[in-house]
Amino acid sequence: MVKIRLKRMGAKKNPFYRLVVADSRYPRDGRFLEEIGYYNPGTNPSEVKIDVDRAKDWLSKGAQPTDTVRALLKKNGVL
Amino acid sequence: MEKFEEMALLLDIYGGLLTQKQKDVMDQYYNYDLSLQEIAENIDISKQGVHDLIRRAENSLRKADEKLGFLKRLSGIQSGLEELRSILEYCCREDMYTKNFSTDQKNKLTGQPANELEVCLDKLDKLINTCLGG
Repeated sequence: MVKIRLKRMGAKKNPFYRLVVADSRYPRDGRFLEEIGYYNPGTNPSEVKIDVDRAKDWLSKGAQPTDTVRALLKKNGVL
Repeated sequence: MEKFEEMALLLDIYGGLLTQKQKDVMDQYYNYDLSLQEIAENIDISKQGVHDLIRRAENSLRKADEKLGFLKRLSGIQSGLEELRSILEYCCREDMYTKNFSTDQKNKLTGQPANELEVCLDKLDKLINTCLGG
């Protein structure tokens, strides 16, 4: 199954996330199909950038967002 | 969403207090955003088992922070440093601008760099107190 999930980047105690599309068969080895945005909770207000077209495209192909990504997509009007 | 970030930070700060297994599961859950099902498959235990591990680890982290309070201190220090940075940045810019200005033009500028630096000192004092747990 193809999933849309957050991938943590950034330093210790200073998290920064990328929104990536990845196959659930290779969880956690870092490989992903495409990066479709990022999310930085460190700034106030938190900064989100999502490539809406790509996100919609992947969703229409049946990619499953995780709960956290779903929340982000909703907040930014993709869902 | 807030809980997700809070837990990621707590895990950075107090992760060392967890058992290796708890830490591994929490890492997969919060830093790699894997589902319970995926983690269960990775470490070969039931989904319920993963859920229990996470729940217990979260409680440990919360308890540690209740007693030590580094999360609050850390965010206080971070926002303080960011404020300082923006003031200093302003001072530097101001300095660059004013080099080419006549005295007349300089007098028109509000917020003299000297005053801003005083503010910086005040903020630094507050930050030092925060570091000491004040």
